Parts: sequence; structure tokens; C-alpha cells
Amino acid sequence: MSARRKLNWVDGAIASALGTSYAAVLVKTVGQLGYARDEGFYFHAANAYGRWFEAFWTSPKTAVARGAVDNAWGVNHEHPALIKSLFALSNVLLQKKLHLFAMEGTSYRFPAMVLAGALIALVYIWGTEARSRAAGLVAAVSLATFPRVFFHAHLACFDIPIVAVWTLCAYTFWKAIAVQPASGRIYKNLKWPVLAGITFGLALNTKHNSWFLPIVACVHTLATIVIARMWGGALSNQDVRVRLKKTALAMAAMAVLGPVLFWAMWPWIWRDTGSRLVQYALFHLNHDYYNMEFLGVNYFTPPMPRSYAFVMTVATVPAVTLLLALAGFVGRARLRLIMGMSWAARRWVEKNGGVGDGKKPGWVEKALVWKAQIPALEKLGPTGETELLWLLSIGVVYTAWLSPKTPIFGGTKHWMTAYPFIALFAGVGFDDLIRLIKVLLVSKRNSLFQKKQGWLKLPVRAALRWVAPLLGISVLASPIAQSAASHPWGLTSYTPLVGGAPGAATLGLNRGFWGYQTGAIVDFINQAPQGSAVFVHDTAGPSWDMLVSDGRVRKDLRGVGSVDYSRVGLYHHEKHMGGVEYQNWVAYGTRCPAHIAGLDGVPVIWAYTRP
Amino acid sequence: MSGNLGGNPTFPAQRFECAGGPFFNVGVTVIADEEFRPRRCLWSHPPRIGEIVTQFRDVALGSTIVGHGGLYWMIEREKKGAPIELSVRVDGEEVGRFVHQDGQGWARFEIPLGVHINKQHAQVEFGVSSKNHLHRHFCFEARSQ
Repeated sequence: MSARRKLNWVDGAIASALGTSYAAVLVKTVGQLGYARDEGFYFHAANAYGRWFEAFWTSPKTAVARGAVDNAWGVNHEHPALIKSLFALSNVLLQKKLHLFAMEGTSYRFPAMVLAGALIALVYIWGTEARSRAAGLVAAVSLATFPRVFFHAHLACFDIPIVAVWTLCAYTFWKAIAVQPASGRIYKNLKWPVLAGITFGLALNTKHNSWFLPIVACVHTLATIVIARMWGGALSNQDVRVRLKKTALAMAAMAVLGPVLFWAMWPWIWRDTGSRLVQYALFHLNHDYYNMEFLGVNYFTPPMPRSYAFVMTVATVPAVTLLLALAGFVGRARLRLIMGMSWAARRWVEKNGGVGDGKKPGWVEKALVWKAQIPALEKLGPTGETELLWLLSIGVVYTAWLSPKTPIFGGTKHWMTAYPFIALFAGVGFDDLIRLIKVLLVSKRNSLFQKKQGWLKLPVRAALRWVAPLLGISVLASPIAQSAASHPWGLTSYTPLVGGAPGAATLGLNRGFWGYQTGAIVDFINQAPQGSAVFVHDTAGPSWDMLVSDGRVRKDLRGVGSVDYSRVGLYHHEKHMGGVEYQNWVAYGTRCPAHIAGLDGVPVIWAYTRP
Repeated sequence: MSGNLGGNPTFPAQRFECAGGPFFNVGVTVIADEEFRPRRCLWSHPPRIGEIVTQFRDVALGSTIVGHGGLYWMIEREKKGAPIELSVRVDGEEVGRFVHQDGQGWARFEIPLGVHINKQHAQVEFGVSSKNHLHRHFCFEARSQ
């Protein structure tokens, strides 16, 4: 159970390089991306919070008065405050004071990009610690290049931040419950339990997905103890006691520090805490159902399709990553199966002690032979407790989408918290693949040696050295290419498995939502006559205003919420939005768009102009 | 005049407005049906009391009046609205009645013309009413054949 690698400065350097370069790529490419509908609401909220922070800085006593707090923090109180506070602080400090960014909107988006970078670094660290540097590297880059992750990582929203904070909380929990056999010194180092508590508080204050974290922690705790006790030998009685105490400590820290931090960092719940928390919870538990197209059907009310999350995962996550994850999972499942069979075989032998070698059933014979592989496979890592934690972090999240009542309107973003763990399994699968290929090469070399073709050994030796980098390039090239090609049409992007964007459109999968695509046609919009009104369709008012603040849309153009009196009418295609397109037809007396844009020939946004 | 996200279809500039506000007009618009396909039709929102009547003069008739009626799908898919009745009259005589229930989508009707078959100069009226006019964004199209 102690197969956790010690990290060194090289790992720190790699993690930093990964995180920094990912954030840098996001900043570099963000200018091509328009603003999503929800971002507009968060800009508005962040501005209110920013004014409150400035007021707090000058007059803290006045700022914490009930009226001041409620005025500021009542804005967008259906979501907690942490990430919007970061948006606000980034805008106030990095933009208004330091003028760090070329565009105003980037200052709001910057904290989420930094968290995305931190997430990629963390996945590298975890993969390396749990398995190997190669596993960590492939896991990190794979996650960074899930096209949908790459898209969401640009936005001033909570979806990537919750993935980052969730993963961090799971990681600290994992560190907190680590059992060094027979170490016994449980209370000596409180760092990780305390960090688990703090990160759980941050997660609670990031997004309501965090409510699933305690489920993962509880099920994990119960399952590891039950499995250890059932199979015996994996953990001694003392180890089980240590595990229980460590887990209890971590969970106590999460139970105490989490809510305290949550409360402390969200001023809106400082007063009327109980009723406001109920209000917050009920908002999400009784959330409206918005529209979402899936396989040609527009869903807007339960029952929702149970296959949605699974089909969309396959349709949007690069197949090579999914295959590696599957290979990683199967490889570790095989080990656990061998362990189970070995345990059962041992029990059988104990029960039938007098039976000779030749009289044992086949499965017992096989299990006893396979048993010899266990130590080496276990040593490779990850440990059983790690695999279980990763698996639960995937399973618990996806389970929610087995309910026909779970809304599907957010597309893939709602189960993105599972993606780091899929990537980690992909890292393990990659490491397994390297080892397998190396074993095959060594066996080839040996056979060549036996055939006295020793001169061929050199290329084999060279090949051994290049297996990991070459294989790494081959499994990462496609996800990198897919992510690069998807920009700035992230929500239109689908994997080649479903025929890419054109195949998905034919299948009736959603081409995009949130109206962010306006940013992709600003050059066309800017050709409108001076002072024109532009019907912005699904782009929220504050999102349009940010395009203007950025200087991406001319200041004299007015974004309006109705096609009446407009000169340019935008249409962001979604199946259920057809009626809005026809509003343009009737208002302008034409069915011919003046401009169409999209990905790989799939129309995503088009614009009409008044003749 | 248009309703933006989830709202009413655009009321065309050329329309007949009745008492009660801009919704109580008759004009050619395009609604989205149950598959969000476009349907060009005559907007005909029933009033609180009575009918909204569209009258055509000098109509050459065939043997039936065939048409479709429905509401913008976003409105009728909730299935919460009252039924809408479309009464078809030729030269003052009611020849048929089509009742649209929410959830039917863009529904077809066919009304035989009886004694009015093949008239060359008929007066045809379409009267739209509902027991509860709230959100009754009815729209229809019809032809004689």
C-alpha cells in the first residue's frame, strides 16, 4: 500500500512548466473567443463584488454592514462567491491598477485560466506520485487537450475552477489518508488533513458539484476498509486502525473547516445563514430545465436520456485518451482480480489442506501461479486505495446522469470533474503500454542474441530508449490537433469517432450554446453602418458590452435584445432556437443570411442584415 | 415587433391590428413547429371575449378547405393552454370547425365545403376563439382545393 513515489525538483519543474505554459496558451488564444452568456452575468456580479472589495479596503466597518453586504453579494447569489471574487480581484488589481491585459475581459477570465494551469500541474504531480513520470505527463497533457476542457478553460465561469478545486481536494484527501504500514504516528502531521478541510471549503465555495465530494470520501473509506478486512493480509489490524483514524481526521477536518471557510468567504450567507443556504440549495435542486438537443431530439423536461453523459463523453473526448484510460483501468482491474482469486485460492487451500498439487481445481492452480505477479504489479502503482478513489471520482459523478431527472442542458461541463481521473487512468494505461512494448523489445533482443544476430541489438537498444517519447507523441498528437482545430468553436467540436463537427451535426448533437460564438464574427459585425443596432440573440447584454470594452466591437454599435429596429440580426443555431431565426426572416423580409460562420463547414452562427 | 428568446414571432410591419394591443393582430409571420421547422402562417391570437375574424372576399373555392394550425412550439409544448377553436365560414355559414389542443403541434385540418363547392366568388371567414385567451399564439394557413 505504499507504492507512492517521492517527487523531486524535476517533477516540480515539470509541473510548473506544464501549468504555466497551459495558462499562457489560454491567455494567448483567448482573444478569439467571444463571451459566453453566463460569463456576462458573472462579469456583472464580479463588478459588484469588486466595488465591495474597494469599499472594504477604504472603510471596512461600513462595508460589512448588512445593507452594503446584501447590495453587493446579493448579485448572482445562486452561485457561491469564491471564483467571482477572484474575477473581481483580478479585474480590480491586475487590470484597473496594473493594466496587465490587452482586453478588459481577459482580466475576469485570468483566474480561471490560472486554475486550469494549476489543474494540469496537479494531474501531473498526482499521476507521477501514484505511478510514474510518464503516466503523469501523459495524464496532464491529455487532460489539457480534451477539446471541451480547452474551451471551458478560457472562460470566466466555475466549470474548470470546480474541476481544479475538486481534484485538489481529492488529492489532499488522498495524501491525508495515506497509510505507511505500522507507522502509527497519526497525529504528528496534520498538514494534509487540514489541507483537505481547506480545499473542501474552497470547493464548497466554488460550485455545487462539491456536494458530491463527501460521498466519494465516505464510500472510499468504507470500501477500502471492507476490502482490506475481507481479503486480509492487505492491511494488518493495526493498519486498519491507522487508516480509520487518519480517514476520520481528514473527514473531520473537511466537516469542520469546509463549512467554516465556505461561510467566511461568502458574505451573502453571513446573515440569515440557514434560510439563505436553503435558498441556495433549492435553486440547484429545483433548477429549471433548459433545452438541449441530443441525437436530433430537443429535451426540455424529464425524462432526460440516460445515455447522454456517456455518449457525449465518447463523442467529445479523444478516442485515444479513452482507450488508454480503459487500458489503464483494465490493467489494474486484472491485478485486483488476481488478488481476489489468490485470496480465494488461499482460502480453498486452507480448507482442503490435504489435497495434492494435481487435484486442485484449475482456477486455484492458475491463481497460485498468477499470485507471483502481484508484488511487481502492486509496486508499479497506483495503490488499490488510489485506484478506488479515482474510480469513485468518475463513478459518483457519472451516476448522477443515470437519473432521468438530471438536467442535461450544460453539455459536458457538468461531469468535467470526472475528467482528471479519466486522464489519470489514461496515464496508467500509457505506462502499461510502454512496459509492454519494452518487454516485447527485450524479448526480441534476446531472441536475436540467441540467433547470433547480435548486430541487431543496437537498434533494439535505441528503440527501448525512444519507446516512451515516441509513444507519447503518438498518443498526444491527435488530442493536441483536435483541441487546436476546435478553437474558437469549442462547443461545436466533436471527435472523429462521430465524424467530427459535421458528423455530430448530422447525428443531431448540439452545435453550441451560450451565444459565445458572436466573438468569432466581430469582423463582419464591425462592417455594419455607423450607429447600427445589432440583435445579439443568445449573447447576454454584459457579454456584448465586454466585446465593446475589449475594443473587439465598434463602440457605436448597439447590442439590442430584439430584432425590431436592428440593422444586423445574429442567430446562434440550436435546434430549439429556430423560432428566433424566423423572427429575423419576418423582420428583414429575407431568408438569406449575409454571413455564415462555423467549424468544418457546419454553420454555427449566422447573421442577417436589413435590406 | 418580435419577442426575442422564447417570445412571440415577429409581427410583420403590414398587419391588421384589433383592439386589445399589438398581440391581437392578423398578419403573415413564421412560427417554429414541433420540430422547430418554419411554418408561414397567419397570426391570429384569440381575444379575451369572442373571436378574431379574418375575412377574404371573392375566393374561388374547390371542394374542401385544407390547412394547418398551431402555436410556436415553445408555447404549446407546455400543454397548459386552453384549446383554440378555428371556425370556418363560407358566405356566412359555418362549414367546419377545427379545435387545436396544445401538444398537437402543426396540425392539419380539412373541411368539406358542401353546398359551397366550386363557388367562384365566395366570402370566406376564419374566426379564432378560445375559452382562455392567455398565451394563445395561434397561427394558421389554409387553402381551397
